[in-house]
Amino acid sequence: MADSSPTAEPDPHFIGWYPIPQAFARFLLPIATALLGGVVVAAGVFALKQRAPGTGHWEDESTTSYEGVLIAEPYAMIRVPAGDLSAPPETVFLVEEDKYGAKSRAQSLDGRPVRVSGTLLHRDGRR
Amino acid sequence: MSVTYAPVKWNRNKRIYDAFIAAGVVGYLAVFLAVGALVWTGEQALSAPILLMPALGTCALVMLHDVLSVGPLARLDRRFIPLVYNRRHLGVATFLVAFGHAAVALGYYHGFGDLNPFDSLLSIPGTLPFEWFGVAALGILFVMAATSHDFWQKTVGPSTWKWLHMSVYPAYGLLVIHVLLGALGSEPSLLYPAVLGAGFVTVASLHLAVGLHERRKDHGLLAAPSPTRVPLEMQAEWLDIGSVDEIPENRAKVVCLPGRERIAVFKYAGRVSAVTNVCAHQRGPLGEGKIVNGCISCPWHGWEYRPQDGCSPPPFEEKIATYRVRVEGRRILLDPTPLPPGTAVEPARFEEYT
Repeated sequence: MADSSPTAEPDPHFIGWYPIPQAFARFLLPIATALLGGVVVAAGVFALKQRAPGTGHWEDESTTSYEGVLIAEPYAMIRVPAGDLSAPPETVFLVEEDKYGAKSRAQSLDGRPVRVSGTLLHRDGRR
Repeated sequence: MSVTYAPVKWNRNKRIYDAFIAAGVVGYLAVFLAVGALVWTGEQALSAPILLMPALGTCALVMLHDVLSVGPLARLDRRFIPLVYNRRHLGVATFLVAFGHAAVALGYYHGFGDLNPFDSLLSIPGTLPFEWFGVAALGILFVMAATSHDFWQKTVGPSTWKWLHMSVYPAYGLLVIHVLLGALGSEPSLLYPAVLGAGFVTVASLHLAVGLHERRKDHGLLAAPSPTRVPLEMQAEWLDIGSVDEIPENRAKVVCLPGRERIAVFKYAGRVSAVTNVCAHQRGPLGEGKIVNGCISCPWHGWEYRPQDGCSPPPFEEKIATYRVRVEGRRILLDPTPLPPGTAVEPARFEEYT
């Protein structure tokens, strides 16, 4: 049988463990390079165009206290009467470290007047 | 092909291929994280997990589009075939990036609470939360990555393996739903749905183009004057499939017969042999391969078969079906009944022009 080189031009044939035929390499190298550049640019655009996350910060530097009525359900919160009695009370949600919420601690005091101290979290202008 | 299994049989082409994958993934993630950290600062600064989740998720989706596009591109233009050769590494890398996305999302959104993160994932309210589509897709990608090695292809058989790995299409569909119902549900920018739509249209168009291309080829073969029935012998129905002069040296003509597998008729060194067009490895199109050093070499992964008996050269043991051929004048006559894989058939000889 006649032997033939898989990389011989003008009828090249790719075999993984042989060097890639020149015609294939000349064709693929610019495409692969452009693809690499394209995905990197796309990554930048995708990151840039993400939805604005909004503002938020933890008031770590100080402790704030509220006096009001504690409500445990459906989420732990305190209803703080406004200075002006005609205004509705302010509601402040209560959380603890991690994602355990404050419900378990609040349940025994549900509906009772309490004084709560802690760190304020701000998110999009709300506390 | 090899007689023993190794995690990866490295060669120069695989190293170059994987270097491109690594450069793409690292470059994508680095740019996404850097731009995200530079753009969103101060009170709008994003935490590392919140930046990492979309970076890994979009990266995996881009990679999956590449995985799905490589096959059709190689059928349309054989210069893309080197991209098919190591496609499994791209697939495994895609799974790993997708797994990273899932791990960060699970830890961030479902960790640090009363419930185990997996219980929390299963307790999401709603009939079909978008997260579950992502989990299902990841499960499919995991099975594909875990069975991507030739050991599994050999163990479960090429047809089962091929069908198993066709499940990349349901995985893609599930991921599109996951993204549509999830990330895109809260993104006001039209960029993301536009890019996802463009990706879907590209993948679908490439597959459609290949389908039409193959159909045209098959219909062209069927519509041509040959093959015609030539009752040369009572015991066999021979088909005239064309002239030896139609076939380039060391290449094949693919014969398409209704209701049968395609047949690859190779011409080499004054001889003609016919074998099934389907490679025993990953069902690659042998007829698009070439005779190299006396063996048919599959265009996808270079698996080799002797044209005269369909056997891989020792020490390999793969076998494919062969067909009886004869040459009358310069016409090639083919008996379309497949012989058991590995059956030796005397090649038909013809006079070469000098």
